[in-house]
Amino acid sequence: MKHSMIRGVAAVGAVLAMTVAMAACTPAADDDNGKLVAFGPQGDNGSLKDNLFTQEVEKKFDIDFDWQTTTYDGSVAGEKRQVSLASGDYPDAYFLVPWVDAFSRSEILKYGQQGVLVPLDDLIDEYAPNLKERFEEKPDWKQSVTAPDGHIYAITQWSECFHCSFPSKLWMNTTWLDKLGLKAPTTTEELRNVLRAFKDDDPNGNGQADEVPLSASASEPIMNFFMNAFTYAPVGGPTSPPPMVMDGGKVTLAATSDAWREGLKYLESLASEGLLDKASFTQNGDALKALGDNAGAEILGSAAVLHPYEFVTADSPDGRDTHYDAIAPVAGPDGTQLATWKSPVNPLGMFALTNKSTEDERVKAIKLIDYIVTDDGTKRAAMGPEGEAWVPAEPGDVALDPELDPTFRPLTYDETSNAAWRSMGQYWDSLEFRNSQVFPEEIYTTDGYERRLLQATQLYEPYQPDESILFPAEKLWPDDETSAELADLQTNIANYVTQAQAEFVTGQRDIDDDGAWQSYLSDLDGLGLTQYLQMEQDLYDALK
Amino acid sequence: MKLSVEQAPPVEAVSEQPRRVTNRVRFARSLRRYWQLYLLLLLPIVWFIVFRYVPMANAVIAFKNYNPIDGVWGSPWVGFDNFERLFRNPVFPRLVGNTFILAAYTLIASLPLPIILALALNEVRLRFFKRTVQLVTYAPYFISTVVVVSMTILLLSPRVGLLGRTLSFFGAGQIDLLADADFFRHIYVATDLWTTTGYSAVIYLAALSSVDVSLYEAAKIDGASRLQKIRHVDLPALMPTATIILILGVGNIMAIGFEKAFLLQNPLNLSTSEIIPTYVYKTGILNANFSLGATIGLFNAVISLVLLLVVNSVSKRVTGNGLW
Amino acid sequence: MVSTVIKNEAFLAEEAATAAVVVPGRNRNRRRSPYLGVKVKETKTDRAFVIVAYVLLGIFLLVVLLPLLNIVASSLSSPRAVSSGQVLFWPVDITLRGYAEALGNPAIVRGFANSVFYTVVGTLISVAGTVAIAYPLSRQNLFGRKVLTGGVVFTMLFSGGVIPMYLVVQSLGMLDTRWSMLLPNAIGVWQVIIAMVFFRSSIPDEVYEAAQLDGASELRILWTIVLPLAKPLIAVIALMYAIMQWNSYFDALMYLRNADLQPLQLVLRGLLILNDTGAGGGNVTEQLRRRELADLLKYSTVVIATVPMLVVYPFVAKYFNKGIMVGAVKG
Repeated sequence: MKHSMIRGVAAVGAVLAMTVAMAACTPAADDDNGKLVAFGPQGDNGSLKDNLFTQEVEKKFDIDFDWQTTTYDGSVAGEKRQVSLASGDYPDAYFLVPWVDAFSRSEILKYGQQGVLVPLDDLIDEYAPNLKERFEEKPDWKQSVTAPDGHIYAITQWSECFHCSFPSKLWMNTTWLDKLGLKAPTTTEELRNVLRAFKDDDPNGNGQADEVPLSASASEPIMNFFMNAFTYAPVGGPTSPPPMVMDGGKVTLAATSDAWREGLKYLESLASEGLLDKASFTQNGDALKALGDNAGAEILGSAAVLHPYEFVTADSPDGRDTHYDAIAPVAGPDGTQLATWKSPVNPLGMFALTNKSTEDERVKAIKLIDYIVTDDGTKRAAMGPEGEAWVPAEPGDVALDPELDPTFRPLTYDETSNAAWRSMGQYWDSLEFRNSQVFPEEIYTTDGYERRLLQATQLYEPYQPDESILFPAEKLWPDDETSAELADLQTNIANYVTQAQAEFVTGQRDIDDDGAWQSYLSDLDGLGLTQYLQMEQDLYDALK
Repeated sequence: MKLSVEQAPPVEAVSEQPRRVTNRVRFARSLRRYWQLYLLLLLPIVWFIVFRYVPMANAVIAFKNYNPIDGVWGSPWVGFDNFERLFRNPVFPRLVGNTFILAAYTLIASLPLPIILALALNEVRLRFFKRTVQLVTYAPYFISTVVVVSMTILLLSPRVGLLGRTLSFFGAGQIDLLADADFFRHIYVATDLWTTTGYSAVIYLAALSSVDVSLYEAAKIDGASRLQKIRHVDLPALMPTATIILILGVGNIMAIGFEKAFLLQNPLNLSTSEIIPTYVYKTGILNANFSLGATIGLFNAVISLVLLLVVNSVSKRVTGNGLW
Repeated sequence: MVSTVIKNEAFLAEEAATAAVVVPGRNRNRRRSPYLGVKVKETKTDRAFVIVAYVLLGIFLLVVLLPLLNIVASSLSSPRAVSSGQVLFWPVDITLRGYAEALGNPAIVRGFANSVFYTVVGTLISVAGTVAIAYPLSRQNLFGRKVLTGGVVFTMLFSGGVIPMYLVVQSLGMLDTRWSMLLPNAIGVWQVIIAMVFFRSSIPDEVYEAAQLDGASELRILWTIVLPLAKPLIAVIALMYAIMQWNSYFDALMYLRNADLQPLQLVLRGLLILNDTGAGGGNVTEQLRRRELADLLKYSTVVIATVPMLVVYPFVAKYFNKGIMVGAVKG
């Protein structure tokens, strides 16, 4: 009896295992009754099925959507997509959102080569004339979606957010400057003096030395602004690669140069004098905001962030949110004066078609994308219907960039409306499209905020670094194996650079001690720096 | 249905024959006597097989270079590549160390408090106070990690946090506890204690409540003080439960979550706050790799198994309690 | 492994002596202690001890309560008041917008109903399943007990992972159904072990022997003797399962597509995430408005998610608070 029972159990187990295996083995042929199975994130403002834009395009292109939805929560959305691919239960098409989760370059290569993602180039050639035109307008976009084998397997969203291209600006309390009779600083030493004045001369007039001259938050390193007075600092952050620059065609780590060390020395001197808030490395966004919003007196002198409403709440009762203006990048002792620049190219892939889709479905989907990149289509898909989300420009309206002709004015966002795909449909958000929108001219209001940011960014434009020193991380196409190796090296090196920087600036490590600097360099070697740089060099050379 | 009475253990009944009672015989006897229990066991066992063991079979993924088209059984075999990658990584020992220390610290620190809370609740009479304390201390368990961490960081931020403001009130200088890599562990454990103590105490309360009331009466008559009563009645009643919780905790030790550590990370505490799950998350952003995740899971599991067996046998020797 | 609870020889002797007090019939499992009504004076040290207990509990209470008050207060205050640090334990600039936004969303009501369903049904299934496996495994003489227990514990250490689980759920046709919320994590190893330990330590062998002498079958013993004694245990594991179900959202994310089946946590989390996006699309003004909404929602969603569990607690707690169980073992 005992044996047969065990055999029985084993048999059940085997059958189950086989069923499971078979389910995984056979990627089901298209048996979804002509429905376009689409995968995309769904928010709480309503289902994608009931979304008005969905219904409009279903009619327009004769599509019958069957939505596989995921969440907007970036930390888990990726898992759902991975699982859908792994289980063989994947959709016909993907409509992903970049800041949630999208296909990485190595994934695009991997799935493209395996045949899971189908090439789109012929489809685009034949059915997407508008997209082709756009590609011609923005060659960088076309280049960014073309894999090394010449095919396009996924389309990325094209978004040229002007103010995002200079992500680290120094916002300073200009009311305090006026009060103390100071000019906006233009060099590192002038900046030091201004910060000293903030700290010692009681600009908020309450008789207490409670002013915080300069602060930041842990997610936006201050390196991004200050280092540029010594040597170029590429965009950094908790999940960014380590700072790399080109030096005569060779990839180098910016964080090992002597100029970088000088920059760290400068920051350390600010920190030890109490001019730079050491808590910049540990506080979160809420804590930074608590500084700016401080109940009672205004205490924040300046902060190096993307935009001022990160550290102060809009429409403050005492108007302090209007006291901050951007300061142009300052020049270092040897005249270096650069600004961290972020390329608009997004290396992820948001729209893709899989081998489960039928030819008919593919054509319809491409036509849909083609529509979404037209002026009308993008307004409808990313914002909403006319009259609800936007109205045409009227005579007398001024575009964001005054030199452009105004096109339309966006209306107040209604979070309950379910009439547009929003981020899921934002495939054409070019510079001209954005900058020709109408915004109020009064820049110190919430509505005029976009203009305030544009004007601030114009201060930084002249300091955009030359292409020859930029390391084009967003143009590289690492394959799956390279990407795996790179992932470990990159995480280790980036972690170490971030940590060491913070320790040097806050004084936990002595920046003036040559021994400490040497051991920092050799630690980086120990983490595989040479190998990492070589791999990146190979990827860069492959671009030619 | 009346069972025939089988009093003494079966072995004695066949004392005439040489003592060769095979497992088969013992199983047959057990089955006859307890067949209803075996029947009861059937469904849960099937559940375990379907939802726990079958997926394990699929975890063969750890040794394969997985791709969706070929599926689980079709993907090419790459042997021990994943393990190699792990062990070659220079930061791996540090990661394991950080993970283990953090988990062990959390486990050990979280043992005594719920017991103390349960014992204290057991001593007080005022029902309203008792119920309120229970309810309030159990509430933090539901506050999401994001909110707890965000509040903690805010609390400890120099100048603006509660700590900072208290210090400036007394004219003392500011300290940034968040910048101290060693302190990271204390902060982590403290938030864990705040969140789970009340909830964990529930189990001990249940154990205490099933203690025979007459035992307390007997103790009282014997003239025992409250302290002695706790030592001789309450604590022994809690011992089995506490030991098991310790053992299970050890078994789960490497299964520490990534969210709280990730949110508490900042550039100055990376040397202690980078643990295996957060590292996997970061590399996962750059290169999503199912096989690596499964490999690490296997690595964790082996460590946990060894620890579990050790702690279990130590516990059985010392306190007589164990998992089996 | 007999519990140490019944080790006191003197006690056993007393029991035998007072056996005459047993009331037969329905109350055979209850007895009136001969010591009821006997007042023993508290010593000074004991009184001090009780005071210490109260103080200790008071400290626990404050340490936990104050941050909770901060959360509730923040959920009722304007975002500016919160970020400027003005809110400590009482709301400043009272606004109900956070709650209105969250509760006004129809998805929330649906999510709530779903969560209630999953919690109630899921807990029933889980408790039944747990007892069904833990009770037999707690019996000393059951052959194969150690192997099966080992098999259960093994699953705590080694798991297939997300994808293999998904494959199983998929092949059983449970995707996008309510079953996918109820079955895949129905039985927890912790709960099984805790139940096993409880059965073993709180129910001495004498009970089984006595019942078998009376000719009761195993199932009858379980149903009429063991389960009533195990009320505290059942209350605890039911609570644990209920909390697990209530808090869960990962399973829902993986296995559900139909928004109508979503539990509350998924809805709440989605609401928060959608608005809390720093890099979200759209122009800056739009992002700002969403950010403001997210700040309001951050605290109110936490409160909304927590309150039902707090309401449930007192009902369950009475089962494991002393006073209900006057359990004698001999009958």
